[in-house]
Amino acid sequence: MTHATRKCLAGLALGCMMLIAAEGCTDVTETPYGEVTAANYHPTAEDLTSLMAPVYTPQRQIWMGWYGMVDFQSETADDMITPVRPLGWYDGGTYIRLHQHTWGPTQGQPSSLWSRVYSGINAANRVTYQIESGVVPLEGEVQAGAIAELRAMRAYYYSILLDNFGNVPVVTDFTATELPEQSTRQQVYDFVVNELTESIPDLSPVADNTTYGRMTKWAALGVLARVQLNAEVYTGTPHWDEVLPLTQQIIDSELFSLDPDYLGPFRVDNENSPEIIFAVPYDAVYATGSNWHMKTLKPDLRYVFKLNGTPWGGTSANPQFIDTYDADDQRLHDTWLMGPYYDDVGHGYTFVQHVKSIEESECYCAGFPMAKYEIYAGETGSSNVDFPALRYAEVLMMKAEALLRTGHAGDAALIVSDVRERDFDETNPAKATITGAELEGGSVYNYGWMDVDGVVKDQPGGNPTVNGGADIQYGRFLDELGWEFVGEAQRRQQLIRFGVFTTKSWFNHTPMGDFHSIFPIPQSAMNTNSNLDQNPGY
Amino acid sequence: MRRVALLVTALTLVVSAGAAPLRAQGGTGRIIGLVTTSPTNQPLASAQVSIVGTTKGALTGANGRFVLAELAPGSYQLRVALLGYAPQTVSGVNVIADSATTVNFALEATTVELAQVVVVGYGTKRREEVTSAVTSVTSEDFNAGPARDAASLIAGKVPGLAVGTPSGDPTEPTEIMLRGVTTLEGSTTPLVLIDGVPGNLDAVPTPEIESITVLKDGSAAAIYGSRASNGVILITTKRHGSGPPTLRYDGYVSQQTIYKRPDILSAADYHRLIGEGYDLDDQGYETDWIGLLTRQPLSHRHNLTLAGGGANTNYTTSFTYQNRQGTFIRSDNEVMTGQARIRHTMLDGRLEAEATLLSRSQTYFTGPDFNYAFQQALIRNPLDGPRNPDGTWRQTSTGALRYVNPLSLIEEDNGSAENRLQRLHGKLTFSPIDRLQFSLLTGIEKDNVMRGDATTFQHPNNTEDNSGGTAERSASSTRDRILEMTGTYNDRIGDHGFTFLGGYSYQDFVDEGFSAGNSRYPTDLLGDDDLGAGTGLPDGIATMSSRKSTYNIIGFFGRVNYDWKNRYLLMGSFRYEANSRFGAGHKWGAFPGISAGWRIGEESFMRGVSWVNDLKLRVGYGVTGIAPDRSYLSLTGYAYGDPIYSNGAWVPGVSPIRNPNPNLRWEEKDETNVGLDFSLFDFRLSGSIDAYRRETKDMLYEYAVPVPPNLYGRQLANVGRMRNDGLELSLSYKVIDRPGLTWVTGANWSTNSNELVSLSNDVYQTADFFYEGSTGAPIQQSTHRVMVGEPIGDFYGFESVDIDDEGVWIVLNKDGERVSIRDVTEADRRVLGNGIPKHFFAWNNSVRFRKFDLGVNMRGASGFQLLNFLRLYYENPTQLDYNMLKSAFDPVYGKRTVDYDLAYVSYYVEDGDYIKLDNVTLGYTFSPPQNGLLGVFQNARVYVSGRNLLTLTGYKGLDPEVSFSGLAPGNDNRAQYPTTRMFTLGLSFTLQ
Repeated sequence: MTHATRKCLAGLALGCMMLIAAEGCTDVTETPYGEVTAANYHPTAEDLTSLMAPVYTPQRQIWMGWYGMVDFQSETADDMITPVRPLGWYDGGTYIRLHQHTWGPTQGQPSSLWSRVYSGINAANRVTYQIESGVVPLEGEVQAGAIAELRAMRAYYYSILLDNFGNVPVVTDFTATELPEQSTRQQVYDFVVNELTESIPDLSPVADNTTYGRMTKWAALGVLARVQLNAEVYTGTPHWDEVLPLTQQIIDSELFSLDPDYLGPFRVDNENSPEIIFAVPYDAVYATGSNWHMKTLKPDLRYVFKLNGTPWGGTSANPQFIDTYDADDQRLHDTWLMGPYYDDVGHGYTFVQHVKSIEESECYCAGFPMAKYEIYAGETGSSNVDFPALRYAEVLMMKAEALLRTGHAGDAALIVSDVRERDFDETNPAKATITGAELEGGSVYNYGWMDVDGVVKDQPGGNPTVNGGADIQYGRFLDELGWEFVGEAQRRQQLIRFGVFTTKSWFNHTPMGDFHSIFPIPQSAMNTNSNLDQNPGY
Repeated sequence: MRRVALLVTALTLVVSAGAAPLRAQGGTGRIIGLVTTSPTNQPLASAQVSIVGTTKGALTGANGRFVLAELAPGSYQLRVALLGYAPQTVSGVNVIADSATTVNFALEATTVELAQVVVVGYGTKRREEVTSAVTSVTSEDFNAGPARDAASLIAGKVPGLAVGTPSGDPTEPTEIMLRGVTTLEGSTTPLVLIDGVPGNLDAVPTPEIESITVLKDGSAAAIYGSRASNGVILITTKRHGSGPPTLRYDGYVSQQTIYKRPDILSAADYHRLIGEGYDLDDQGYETDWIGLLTRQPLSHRHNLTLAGGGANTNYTTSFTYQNRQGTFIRSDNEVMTGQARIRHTMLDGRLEAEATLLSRSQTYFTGPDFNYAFQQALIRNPLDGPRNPDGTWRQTSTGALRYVNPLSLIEEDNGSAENRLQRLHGKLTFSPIDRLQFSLLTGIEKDNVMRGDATTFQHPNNTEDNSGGTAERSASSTRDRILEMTGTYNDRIGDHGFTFLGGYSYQDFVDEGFSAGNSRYPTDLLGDDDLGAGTGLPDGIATMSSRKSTYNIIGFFGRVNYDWKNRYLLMGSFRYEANSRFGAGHKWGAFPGISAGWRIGEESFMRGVSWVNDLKLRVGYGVTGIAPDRSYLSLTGYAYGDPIYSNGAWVPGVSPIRNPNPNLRWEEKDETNVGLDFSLFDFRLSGSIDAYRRETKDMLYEYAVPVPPNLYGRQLANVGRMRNDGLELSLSYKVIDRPGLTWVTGANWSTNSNELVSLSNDVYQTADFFYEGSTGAPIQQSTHRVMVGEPIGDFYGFESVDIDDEGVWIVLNKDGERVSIRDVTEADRRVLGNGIPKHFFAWNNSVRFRKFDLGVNMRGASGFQLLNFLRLYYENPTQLDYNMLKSAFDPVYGKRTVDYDLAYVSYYVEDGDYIKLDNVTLGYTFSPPQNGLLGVFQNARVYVSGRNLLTLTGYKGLDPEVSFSGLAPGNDNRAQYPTTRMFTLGLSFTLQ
């Protein structure tokens, strides 16, 4: 082989490589597997239910999930506490801060709420955009109904933000990429009222199995009524008159009625309760995340209730709240576990009302667990019980409160007595009836600092507060709300509306300033959006 | 890919066809041959082969081969010379017309330290030519005795490469970290190349490894572009030359004991405390739970290698069997590896073909989480027993959470995994002319894992949940393919030496798997072999899933080496690489590397300095990249999941699964390295010093983003910056060097300081800190804080300084005042230490006396803290539901015992500084028997070895060698697999 041949050969080989390099595999396009991408996904009207799912699913975390509203709307209020237990529940002091109103912008529960609610809002915006831009081709009434449902769901989510944070950014455009601007609480209120009012006419009036768990006309009316009931808190201007026609529409539909059994709306089969207007369906297999029972039950109770899981034993009743009950009120025993309870081998478990302090409790047995949601044999870490996000009793009580506050105490008392009837029918039916004068009176709650010995005293240091509840206007009505709706994520809102949340002491809590009636904008949101100003006081 | 395959075939054909004319050489003859190192058989490039008395000569190519052509028939004398090696001369080489005479040389290094051939990216370099921070360890310097994987062979040998064994689990790999933490999100494992093909550190049985080279700095690693940020580890396996067949055996048997048992209350202690009035539960048994769970495990490994071959063809086959028992009952790891390699040269040595097949089968018990079982053994009541009289498990409840009979966890969980690895690669090397060489490398690696796990009816989960047995199966499979073509040309014109390298690389990866699980079985007898027998399907509690993902990487690369008089050395490399995982328009990245060396020792002005044998200054700069470890991150993807209740049924929802980041691009690491290599006092003292700065920019991390407009609160993006500065020193000194007795001592030390420079840019604004790590339940607090301006690894919690009369912690608040822990807030948390050692050091000794050899290796780390979870959880005498450490009754701060809930305070953060007597090995090599039947035995050696023999430390936990990786380093968890001390007896010999 000559030198020239070799050079030629070398050149050829080199050229070959260059060829491969230039023309061959320089392709680094991704072929996605195991997911559909925007490029190849073309949904149709058939896919609407699937598309709607992410608009609803965040509710499962919001209400009865870990750090859910059922927990912290009470842990910040006067009905329940999560004290440190012998082997846990300090959790970085998070429950102590909730109880003592010393939370800051990094507090976990409001931060979780913020992100969960916005994920629902985001999904609503996205699906709205997909429908309006024709990505999901819908027509006529179907399109109008879907858009109305999305708008109402979004408004419902904003109503939660309105209540908890006040000044939040209102985002409705999925395609917007700039950092959202913050709205005032008044603007958020106006937006929610307007969106609900506009979407109600196009929402489904059907209330049966086909719309269970969905935002119907009746659910939207109830949400709007709840917003108007709290309008004075949100805007400074009361709107009691708006509440009456909204609640009346639901009553007049005659689609709903009080369940004869107080616990009916809280049972595993509560989808059959005539009382539920808007539910968040849970399922131990398909729709997991409802773990209130795990949070409140003592570990050993698994042997009593034949649970398929060991509960964690954290939250229990504030002993002062238990003291407010009438002993004949069946709700006392329907709501709280006292014992004794026996397992198969005869071990007994009894709970005591007394809890030493928020920072220390002698045992898991200190404080009554809240077991209003049915505990059933075979229950796993995820409960099957649906959450009644709006039930008929609340509609009635909203109407009653609006009447009471507009000078119709007698009419209000009739409604309240109706609601109470099932709670005394087996003990002392006469006690069900309540008068307008009683409702206008103060609360029976013995507000004040509770010392380790269980005695209510003046709190050490701090601003002095008035002990007892006699000075609370319509305090008796507040008590009624407490007994009826305990454990339904409403107590904080009730206390704020009745002016108690930031003025009274209870257990180891003393008032820390009015600004605590809304939570701070979560630090995680502040960090990522420079347009946000922190709520006053934080 | 198909097109590439076709072209490859075409290239191969061209190469073969073009080579044919080489045979025709009328009238003259040729001498061909191979120059290698002795005894390690590495090809030596640039060796000068000359015919004595003539001007004819040739340089060897990168493959060590030379050709002297157009020689008149006759007898010649051949001489080969190469700096750093003893020259050799061979007389009487006969050249016959029209044929080639083969003469091979195996050169002995003149000095061990300087003459090594070092494997660098896509080639080899002589030690003195290297201009980057590269450390190479050859087999004779490997740590003796059992090794988990390739990394444990070089633990303590490579300054800057931290190798840890934080777990005694026989299936756990070693933990490695090169030059500090450089990334938050990306992988921290180095790129491992086995004979040029990517693989894992445990793919090749350790007796078959010839050398391990670590490319530490950016200038050396840059040619590997992506995945090279954490360094590159090049593993070269043993190759055997031609010669009569040899059969080599290398085996050992070893036994382990737990290095240190936690000092918990015994049954006797419980009885005593009950007598003192403590409310402890006496169930009428006395049990040593840790004793019940553990054993002194035996492990053994046997490696047989058969090698041989003729002038043009040789082969190496090996079979390795390894069975490693774990300290915990039932835990094991059985590995069988077969490897076969055949090499053939043709066309007078111009074409070399090599094919290697490796097949490995690993089976191991996967049953329970042994770490958790260990934790349960610690806390279980020693006055309780494992079984009831009827044979069922005792599951006495104290009412406390997470309290299970640990023996039942292990005995009632039957899990196993089989991991089948296959590597096949072929290499074709062709030298059309001297000094020019083309290489084609193709390889495929398949890794299939089949797992099964079944819990019996008696498993505590099932007895408690009344759920019957559970069983599941899963299979996963990865497949990597590689194709690489390189061309190399080296030459020397006068004082100027050059090497040019160019190449193309294609790699693609497929990862897929599926799993299924069922429960409520009618019988325990089926295990996981008949999932269909379970009845969980109609109840909706059976599970099923599958997945698949792919990606590919394409690179073009080149390198130029230049030297002037072997004195001034320059290296420039460049890689242009694409990874499909990035956003469109951001897939390609450029990774340059440049380095220079000045061999000061070669300068004339150094001639008079006789005590300096060699002195080289190196400076290098290189850019490497890190890619994310998941695919499709830049795309908008939807997945079906979380269902909605619709008309009585659950309908799967469809939703976006991520915030797509179309701008996702390379995380880049720029590294500058300055180093000095020296060899002094007649080569008695040698060593290196390296100083480096590594700057990570466009750092990948899941950054917090606002929702809306984003779909999710986190997005993988290129935002932050991180810096590591470090210094490394290694020294080797021949204390005694005379016939019959040598003693070489070596020490190395490295230090690194890390700083997170930034977490924000114009687009991504985020808090300048985030929390990492968790104490776990029930304390539920983060253990670490990652903060801008601070190093990774800071412990962050309450700083305890005292305890009050009631047994409650006194801590410092944010203003430095002493307050009760009852009165603190989150704002009072402080930095309590750092979990990453500031210094790593090692001292290695090797003594040879006649036929004895003794190796003593010590290794240590200092300048770090550990969070002692055992004390944090079990040194609190108020927690009577769980067993505890005896020290729970020792006074805290010399005052009294704790009477407060469990709390994460600095009292449990301890200094972790340690020195370990890591390895002592004593060996004896037999003289080869001269005659008789035993004459076939060669190189027979026996050794005894001890590992992890002694630890000098003030740390009160079990072993201060705790995981230093991740963002929460130094958490010495209570749930762990304790480390062991190991004694080994080994034997090796060769049959010839």
